[in-house]
Amino acid sequence: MKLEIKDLTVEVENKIILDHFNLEIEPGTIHAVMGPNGVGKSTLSRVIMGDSHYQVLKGDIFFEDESILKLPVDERSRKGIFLAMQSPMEIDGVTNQDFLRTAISQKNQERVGLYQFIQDCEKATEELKMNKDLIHRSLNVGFSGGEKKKNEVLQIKLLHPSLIILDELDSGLDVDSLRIVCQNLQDYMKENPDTSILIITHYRMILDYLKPDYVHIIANKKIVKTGDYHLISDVEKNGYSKYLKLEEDRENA
Amino acid sequence: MPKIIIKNNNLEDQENNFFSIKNNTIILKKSEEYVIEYIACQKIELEIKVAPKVLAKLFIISTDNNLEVKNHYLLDKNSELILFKFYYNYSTKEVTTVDLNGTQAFFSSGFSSISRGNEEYHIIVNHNAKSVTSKIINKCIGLDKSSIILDINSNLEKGNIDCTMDQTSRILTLGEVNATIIPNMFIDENSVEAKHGSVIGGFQEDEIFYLMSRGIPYEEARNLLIKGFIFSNLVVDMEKRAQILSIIQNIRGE
Repeated sequence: MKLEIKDLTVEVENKIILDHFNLEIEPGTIHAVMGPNGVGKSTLSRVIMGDSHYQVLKGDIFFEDESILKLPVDERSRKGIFLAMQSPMEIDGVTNQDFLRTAISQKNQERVGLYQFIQDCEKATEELKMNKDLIHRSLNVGFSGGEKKKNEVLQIKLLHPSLIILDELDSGLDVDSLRIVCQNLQDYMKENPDTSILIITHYRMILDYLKPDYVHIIANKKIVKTGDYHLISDVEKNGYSKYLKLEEDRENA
Repeated sequence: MPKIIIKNNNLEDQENNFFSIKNNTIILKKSEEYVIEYIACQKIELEIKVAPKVLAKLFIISTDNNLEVKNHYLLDKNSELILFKFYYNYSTKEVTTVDLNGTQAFFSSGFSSISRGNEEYHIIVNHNAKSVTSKIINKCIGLDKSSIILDINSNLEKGNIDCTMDQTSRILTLGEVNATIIPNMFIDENSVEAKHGSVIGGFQEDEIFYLMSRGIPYEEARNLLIKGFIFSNLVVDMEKRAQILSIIQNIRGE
């Protein structure tokens, strides 16, 4: 589904994090966002999801040509936006199963049957090579970093979003687990060709697997450079300094 | 599962293979799972003894009572009591005294409650022998303008070496709740392992955000968290679980 961010200015604690920010994501495309620490990459993901800590001062976000700024977080999610979080919450006492069944039931607007749920879960956990016991444990409590990230992808597989935001999905994942989750995401894209992905990352490996159509560099609160897959090599070789300088020069001019 | 019902403050003397009751003293004789239910009670005073080498699990439930309780638990050598308790009363004043009298005695308590009136709990755990263990976890939800006091006292005198004590209390406030936790440990012995933790507050915003980001509306997210809070501290059968769930589904309070 199409996402359009138009001229967005976002503030948190009296500090502007994104300034006149623009981004368009067409259905079926994969975008990667890279940039130094603290430039607003995670902010971008949380603003799209509707985190009330961040205040939108200007601009708009459209999903399927409809402004979503006034929609609460749960409604954005049910429309098809999914944010795989950098640090998934641990919630003691809420079992993964209870949580997932509630979420699926809300998405489908009808209570999912236990048999169907178990079948879907078993298939998805098997494909992700996850320990099946994790379904019965408290949500993310005592999970390893890799298990938490796999649990995020499990939710994607069960909730069927049309826009997937991966906020540093690769952090905490070993190479084998990263390969498995990326394979699952590739399969998901094949089965749901209209789905778009926005990847926020510092590292190349996840991009080698998912092969983004567009790579954006964020610096100084906005996108300063957009390119294709080859931009990653340039960033790897030369770092972000030239893009930061580019933006400084632009501002000075 | 042996069940003891206390109705209208009355506990009849009885004797069977699992327990004996005489003059409000209950002796748990077998390693079993026991249930005590208070029905239409106002005042209860019990002495509960766990026989030596017995591992007893006990679940106590009380709903819709204005309750005053004074219970005394006594554990002998190598005996264990794993206590789970759930209260949803109009008001409660309870004094629980635990005497760990024999070496290797083990007492653990998981107490969950939903408070809608004035609640006052005083818990006194006396570590009277060497190598005894107490583990107390209290999880209370305060609704509207309720008041909750948790006063926990773990006592250890010199000479009772190698004891372990742990007290953790959390009050989740869903309203203008007056909540107090007093975690005391009176320890006069160097050879001891002791820890405690106390938290009073509402839901974590990040937890709500996470659940809502999966399409779960606020009310439903809140109910999931309440359920998790209560059941993370209880091990109950399906029947009791359903009873507690129906209470959770009907509670309000912001």
